[in-house]
Amino acid sequence: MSRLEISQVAIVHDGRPIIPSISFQVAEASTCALLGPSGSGKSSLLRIIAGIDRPAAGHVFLDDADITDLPTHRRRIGLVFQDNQLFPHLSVGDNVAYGLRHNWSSNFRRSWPKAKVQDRVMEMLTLVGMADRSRDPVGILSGGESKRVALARGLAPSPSVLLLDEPLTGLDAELHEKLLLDLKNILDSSRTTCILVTHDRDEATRLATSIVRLG
Amino acid sequence: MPSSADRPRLRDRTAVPWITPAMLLVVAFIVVPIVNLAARTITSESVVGVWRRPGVMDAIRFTLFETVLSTILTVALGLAPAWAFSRWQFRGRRFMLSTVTLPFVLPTVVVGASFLELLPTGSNRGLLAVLLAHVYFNLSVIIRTVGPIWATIDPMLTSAAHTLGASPTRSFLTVTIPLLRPGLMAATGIVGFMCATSYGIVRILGGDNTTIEVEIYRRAMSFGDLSGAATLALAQLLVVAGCLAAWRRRERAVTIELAHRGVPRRTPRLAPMVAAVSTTIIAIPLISLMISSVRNRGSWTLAGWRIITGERSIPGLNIDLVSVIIRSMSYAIVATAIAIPVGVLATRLRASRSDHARSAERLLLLPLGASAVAVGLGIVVTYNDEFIDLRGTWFILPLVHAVVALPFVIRTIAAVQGAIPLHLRSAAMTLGAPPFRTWRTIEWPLLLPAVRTTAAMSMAISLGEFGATSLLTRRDTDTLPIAVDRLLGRSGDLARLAGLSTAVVLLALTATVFLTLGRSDHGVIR
Repeated sequence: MSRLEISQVAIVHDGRPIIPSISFQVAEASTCALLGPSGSGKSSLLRIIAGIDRPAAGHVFLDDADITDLPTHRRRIGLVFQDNQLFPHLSVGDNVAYGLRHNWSSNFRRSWPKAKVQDRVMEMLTLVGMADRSRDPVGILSGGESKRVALARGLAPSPSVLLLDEPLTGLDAELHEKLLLDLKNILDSSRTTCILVTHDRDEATRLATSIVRLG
Repeated sequence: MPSSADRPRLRDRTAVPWITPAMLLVVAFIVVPIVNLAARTITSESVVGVWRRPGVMDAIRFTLFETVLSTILTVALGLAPAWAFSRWQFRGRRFMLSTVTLPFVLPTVVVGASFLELLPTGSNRGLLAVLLAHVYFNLSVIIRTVGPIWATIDPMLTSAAHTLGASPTRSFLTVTIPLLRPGLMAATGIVGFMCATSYGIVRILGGDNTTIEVEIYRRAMSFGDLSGAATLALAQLLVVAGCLAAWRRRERAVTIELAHRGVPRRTPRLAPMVAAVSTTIIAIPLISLMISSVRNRGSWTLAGWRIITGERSIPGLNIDLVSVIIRSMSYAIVATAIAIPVGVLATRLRASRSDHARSAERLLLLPLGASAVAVGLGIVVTYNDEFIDLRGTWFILPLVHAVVALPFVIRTIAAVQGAIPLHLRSAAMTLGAPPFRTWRTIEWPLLLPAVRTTAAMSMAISLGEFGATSLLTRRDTDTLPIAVDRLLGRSGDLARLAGLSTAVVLLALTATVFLTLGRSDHGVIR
């Protein structure tokens, strides 16, 4: 659990200001929703927080430390991508284990000895209801299943902050409702500080403890 | 991922007539000559004894050694330009990509002559020169084979690895490299094969070292040991065919379908720098060749070029280089005019997507594994008697060039053909288009860029073909590579200058064909 602060961050695309300046804080173990229409800069802001892109101006603080210039892999910030970005050459279990096996920088809160990796993978897959699919290749998963695996992978290394980019977009109504309830339970039980990007007001109010509007 | 077995099939027998011309060519000019050569010359003594003849085991050892080293070096050095060209857009990218992919279609004698002039005397003949020339020659294979796969890897996948704590090196090793594996496997196979069967480069730059291919030539032409040459050629064919088959099986096993690349990101400054450095390194030997053709003992001279135009002559050498240039171009046009229609017809078989199609396609790739020298020898032995005297005809060389080009034509067009969704054809047919109209209006336009590329490749292959030509040529059918080899093999400044100038002409012709007709990145790296 960590506290995140966005301070006067500006986002510019091709010389056009998308977000002139934005500041907000996300308290420990809380969920903040970034709500706004397409093109309002929600996903761009998420990529800046993750360190994939750099802001045109402003700073990102994690527990009062300025991480604006810190490379992505040293930030302890997990990101569940809108299109999941599961590694196509790895099985479901190996995708979830990836962050446990490759965090040599020791910046994640917990280190994972080899023997414990498998236990953690099963714990995460059980959490998202995919315990029996560990050996499956990711290519055969449905949209909802891929989303669950991506969530398990993001949560597995216990990131300080978890970023969710439109986690429920593109799912049919029934699956959307089921995953929303699951996600709420998972976030509550894992007590992970979370930022959620969505354009769905209902989703934002049901999942988040605070809402930041963009656009 | 749908396998080929899941896809709907056309009836196999519809494809049989399409493949007949290609089969006839391969059987007549590869299978029959080699089998005939083997049957006439190989004895039980040669099968057992050839390995003990002087130079043979050395040639095998050198072939293995230089193949492994050349392949490792080429893959290691090719990854950076493959990354730069496939993943990023920058100013001058198209021109630089054309330049770095040019060497693969350059005649071996041009590359050989360039390195002969570029490297200091003493190190320009031997293992180092061969390795450098092989890397130079095959770098574009890595760029063209690994690049397109790299381009399909979503950059967000490596970002995903970073968000999970993987450092850039780790994400490269655990995400990028495994995803590149199909391309790396294919590229390693092609480069390894090209280096193992290298002939022109080793003959010009090898010094005392010989590859098996050169040893076949030496056995046949210098020692008159036809049975030894044929035994080596047959052994090489079997080993290469076996390796290619095994490699292709592995290639298929690791093939995975990848997502389209994600959001384009800002080009890092390193990408154009890597591209510019690679382009410069590729251009240096070619520029050096051009300069060498007009430099002699520290002063500028046009003597070599005057020999080409006929204003001067080399004492004791009667060679009409203008006729050679015209002949080479004519052969290239005829070879292409044969290879393209025959190749396009043969790739219709791919549309059937059947197991028979794959087997037949493998047979059509046979010219890749056959020793060009042995093919030449086989043709001399088979078609040079009172009943059939093909060697005395003008069309034997373009015909053989077409057969040598056929695997490249078939592989390239078949890949595009196989990617055309069957439902496009079905859609046209449900709208009332008969089969030929469906082909002409749907498939042909989609195949056309690949046809243009392979036409350029066929012309380049014909212009530069050296192995078989060196055995089949006669004084009145000399081609440009043979003229270059003949001139550079003579002593004296004038012959050297004429050889280098002729190599520049060959370079200019190949580059023009490749850059105008081929548009090097068409359909390969967009």
